Amino acid sequence: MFESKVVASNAVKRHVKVPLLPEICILVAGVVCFYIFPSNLGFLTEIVVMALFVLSLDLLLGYTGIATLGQAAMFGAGAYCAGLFAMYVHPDPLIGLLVAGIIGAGIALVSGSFMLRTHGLSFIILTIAVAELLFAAANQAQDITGGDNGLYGFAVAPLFGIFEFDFYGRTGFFYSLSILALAFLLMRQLVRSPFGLAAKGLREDQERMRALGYPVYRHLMIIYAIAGSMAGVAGGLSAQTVQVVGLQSLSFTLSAEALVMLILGGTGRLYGALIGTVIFMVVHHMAAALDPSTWMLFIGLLLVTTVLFLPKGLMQLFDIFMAWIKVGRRSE
Amino acid sequence: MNNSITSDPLALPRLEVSGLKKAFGGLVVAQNIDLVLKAGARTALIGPNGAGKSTFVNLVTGVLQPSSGSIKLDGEEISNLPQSARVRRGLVRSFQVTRLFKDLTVADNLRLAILQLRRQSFTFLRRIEHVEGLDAEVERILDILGLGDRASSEVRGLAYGEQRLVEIALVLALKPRVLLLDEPAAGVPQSESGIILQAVEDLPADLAVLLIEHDMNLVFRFATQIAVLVSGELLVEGTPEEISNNKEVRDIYLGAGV
Ligand SMILES: Nc1ncnc2c1ncn2[C@@H]1O[C@H](COP(=O)(O)OP(=O)(O)OP(=O)(O)O)[C@@H](O)[C@H]1O
Ligand SMILES: [Mg+2]
Repeated sequence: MFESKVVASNAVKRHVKVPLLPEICILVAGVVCFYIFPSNLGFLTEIVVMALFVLSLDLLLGYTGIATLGQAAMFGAGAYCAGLFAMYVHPDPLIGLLVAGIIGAGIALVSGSFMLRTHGLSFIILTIAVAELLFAAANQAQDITGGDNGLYGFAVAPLFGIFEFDFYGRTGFFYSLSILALAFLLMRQLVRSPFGLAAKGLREDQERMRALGYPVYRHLMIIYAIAGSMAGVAGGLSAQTVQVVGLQSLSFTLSAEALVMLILGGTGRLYGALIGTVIFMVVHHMAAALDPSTWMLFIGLLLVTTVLFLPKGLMQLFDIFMAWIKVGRRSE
Repeated sequence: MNNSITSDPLALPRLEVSGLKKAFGGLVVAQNIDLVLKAGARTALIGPNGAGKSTFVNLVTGVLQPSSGSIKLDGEEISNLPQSARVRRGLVRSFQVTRLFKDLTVADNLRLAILQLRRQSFTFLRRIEHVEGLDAEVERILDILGLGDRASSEVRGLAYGEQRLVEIALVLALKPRVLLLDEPAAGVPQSESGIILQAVEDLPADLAVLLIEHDMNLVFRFATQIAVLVSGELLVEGTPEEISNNKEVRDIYLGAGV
């Protein structure tokens, strides 16, 4: 993927494989949005951060078949830690992000060590329980987290010592966008690696994987930790760009909404996570602006329609479109 | 059959099961089972439906925990090891009812087995196509089973007979030391059962094989030793001649057939 290859796909048509094409697309789309909606950078950044979070969920649900309703545990932990780290330890954003990722992975490992021995409904309940536990802890520890008022008043140093996190959110936006593109690249590598294939095997049949000699629990732990660190980084980004961390970052609502976004876009494919997040967030934004009391209705309708008519999510539209193009080209 | 001298390393027991017992509540489905598979063993395990043959495989491989008894692999007690650890030591089984990764391609199914054998399943950042020698090995195994042109098909799209072949391909890919085949040809049309039998006959000579099979022609063609399981207990074990001449076996199992 790093070298550009010219592949003759068939006798008629040759196409060139551009390395890093998906990542370039993400960056270009971001830049375009930056120029079209210069006054909505805060919202755009929120979408980017959320996309990263949903991507972490896709690794679990879409690729490994681990259904969770507690992914916010890692997001919120990463957010609070990034905020506290900036406040008390060091204001550098990248170090803060690293800490958030480590915390996310740590929480995933600790909670996963007992949760991943269970399956199905018990597992889902436990994921909810762990997130609720952290939520309650953050609520109790008001002196540290600010409780209901949120954690604020921490300053983040300029990125690389050069780019200040400005009032308009330009730095925050491009910073988040770059992290998302990087994470996307890592995910793309991961799902096409032997480790990624093992994840798909686990999704299909864990018992069969055991009969092939796979140390299933160890695989699950590592995947859970990777997804946890991604969620932690997303939380850290949120803290650094919004400069406030609220209790909702640990909430059940956040976990559930991320799941809705993923299912909307399509599980088990990286683009699904991105598309689903963008559509959900935009519809949410616009519907809430039109009528703040009924935006959930719009989202609900969208989700029901998608699940009924496009069981593989909105990405299925893309598949249909591609199939249609192929047929068109053949009949030429 | 097993008349080789004990000092011959080939004659050392690879799998040694003794006093194996399993009860589900009050229902005893296996008891007093003693069985030894030496290197190069070609043993058939026969018995009527519900005799406990598959249960025996589940006990030995660790899917089920025995109520009592010992299971030794290469002289080491393994009955407390998890299933996957036993497989990594070379104890491999096939499933009576095909159990495959249906949404993955045939090639990916095999890659999973080979990557585990090579302990490469934790490789993160290398694309699977770039893992050295992986696809050559996939091809080699698929060719043995005549599945060469199916590599990129999803398993769910294959005919059941072909899926049975993939099931065999998976166990071949794991290069076992002890192989337990649970009715590998069950549900396979005539055209493909020949391929399966051929693959089984071509297994490495020193591999210890236990074949569970109802088709007596197949059993007599394959086995040098036959064990008969009835109601969870080993009725008798012996050479094919001994078994076919055993009156009890003829009464209980072979019936009018032989
Ligand atoms: N989990 C279980 N709980 C209770 N009984 C079980 C369980 N698993 C198997 N059995 C019983 O154990 C007995 C042996 O079943 P098993 O599947 O091992 O037979 P088998 O010899 O493989 O038969 P077949 O030739 O039909 O494959 C059966 O009576 C079955 O009902
Ligand atoms: Mg059986």
